[in-house]
Amino acid sequence: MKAESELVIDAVGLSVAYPNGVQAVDGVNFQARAGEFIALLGSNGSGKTTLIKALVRLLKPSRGTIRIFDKELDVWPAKELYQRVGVVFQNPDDQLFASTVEEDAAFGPRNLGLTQAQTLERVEQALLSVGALSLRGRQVHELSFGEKKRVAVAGALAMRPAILILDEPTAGLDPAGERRMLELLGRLNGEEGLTIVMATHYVDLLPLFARRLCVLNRGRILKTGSPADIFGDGRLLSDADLRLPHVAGLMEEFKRCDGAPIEGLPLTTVEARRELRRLLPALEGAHDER
Amino acid sequence: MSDLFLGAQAPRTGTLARLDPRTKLIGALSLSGLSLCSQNPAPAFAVAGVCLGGLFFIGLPWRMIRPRLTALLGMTAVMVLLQAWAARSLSQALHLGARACGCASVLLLLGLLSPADQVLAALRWMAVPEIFLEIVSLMHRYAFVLIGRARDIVAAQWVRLGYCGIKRSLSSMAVMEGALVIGSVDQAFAVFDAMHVRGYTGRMPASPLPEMSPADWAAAALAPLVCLAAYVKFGRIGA
Repeated sequence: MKAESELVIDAVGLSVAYPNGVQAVDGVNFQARAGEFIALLGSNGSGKTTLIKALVRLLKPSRGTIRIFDKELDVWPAKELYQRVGVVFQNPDDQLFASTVEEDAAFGPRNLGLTQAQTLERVEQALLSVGALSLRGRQVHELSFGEKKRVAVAGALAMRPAILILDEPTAGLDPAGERRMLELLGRLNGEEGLTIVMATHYVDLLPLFARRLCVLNRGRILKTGSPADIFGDGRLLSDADLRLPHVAGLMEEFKRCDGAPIEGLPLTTVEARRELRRLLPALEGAHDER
Repeated sequence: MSDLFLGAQAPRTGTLARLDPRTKLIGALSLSGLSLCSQNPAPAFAVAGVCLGGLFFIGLPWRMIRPRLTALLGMTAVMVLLQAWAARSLSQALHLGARACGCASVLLLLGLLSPADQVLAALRWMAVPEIFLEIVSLMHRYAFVLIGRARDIVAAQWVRLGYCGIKRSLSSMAVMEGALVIGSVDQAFAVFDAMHVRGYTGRMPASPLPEMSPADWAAAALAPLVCLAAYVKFGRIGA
């Protein structure tokens, strides 16, 4: 049996209330293990961003405990905590505060007190891994939205974190940009072993990358499970104001309306194609009979 | 509009653009000093002429020079008119206008020749207080965000007839300004969070400048001397 990897985030009974009384997160238990790719899935206002901010100590929980690696969140010195946990915010303009791409990516390493050579090495590597090395000399205000998003990820990567937490990394990107961003995160997770926790409400490409989904609604986690578990639960999706990925929606229609004998629910185009190829002879047969 | 101010636009291969930012800053300060200290308007106008000529020399297209020149001349004209009206002295007004024109031209040329981060690094080398530089650096970055946001708000108001008539225009502008202030406060908190999670502890780190070459040192030494000589020769006339 494969041994479970180290628990890197362990939030128990977490609640966060805003001063106006809104209970944005309510009694959430959330765990992440080293090397996992987890998506916090929920509609707007479900508490994803609040949960993320609490996990990185930008908001103080009203109840509950959070452990990052082997220590309580509160006892981590900021310098050590943010070397382990990188954060990428939803709006890249909030995060890119230097005038050039290189300066911005160097912000974190310089704050860590690294030498100029070490800083440049980290900047180069971070920009290379997000495919933005060619942008290094550019002014931040000249970048496109997609480029800004990638440079924001590079800024977090330059801290060499073990955990990368992203708030809506694909929001505002075109379909190609969305796929590129998720492929980048998939690569960072698969090849570099980063633990990825991302908040999102985009469902179409998630089954390709995320191994575990946590569905949030009104500040509570409704269910945690694999993409098949989550998308196989129609009632859950309806309660959380979510939908199936388009491919899965189509296959579900085949199953429900045409009585196609589909096994399980294909969530990706590859799975759907495999299933359709298996079904085609049966469908052709049905057509002939009619 | 963001082209109007800030940000190096000059080809970076040009002779002036390749100078060390410290040399450029020393040159700019010397020229500004000459403009401000001269007892007659001629040296300041000469500085303005040299700098505006420099804009052509560095290969900037006319379409980029034109709005800057218009802004500069407009600003000078307003100052001259105000001073002539207040002090009732055309010569004093011209002198003030010349100083403003000279200094603004110097800043314009410097801004077009050097990226903001280099100018800030040079200012840091000159021991300008860190807090001031940090604020300027953030202002420079977020000026563009603010302009973009203002443009979006104006467009949204425009398509809903927010600028039909003077009264409605004034009201729309006031709403836009209010929205910008509130948005800026929100953004300031978000930016602080983003800085905090990347290790910010109250001091913005800066990139070190490379060693200055002997040619840069020579140019840096020469600029104040030339300006001093110009002041002695031409600037004291009229004292």
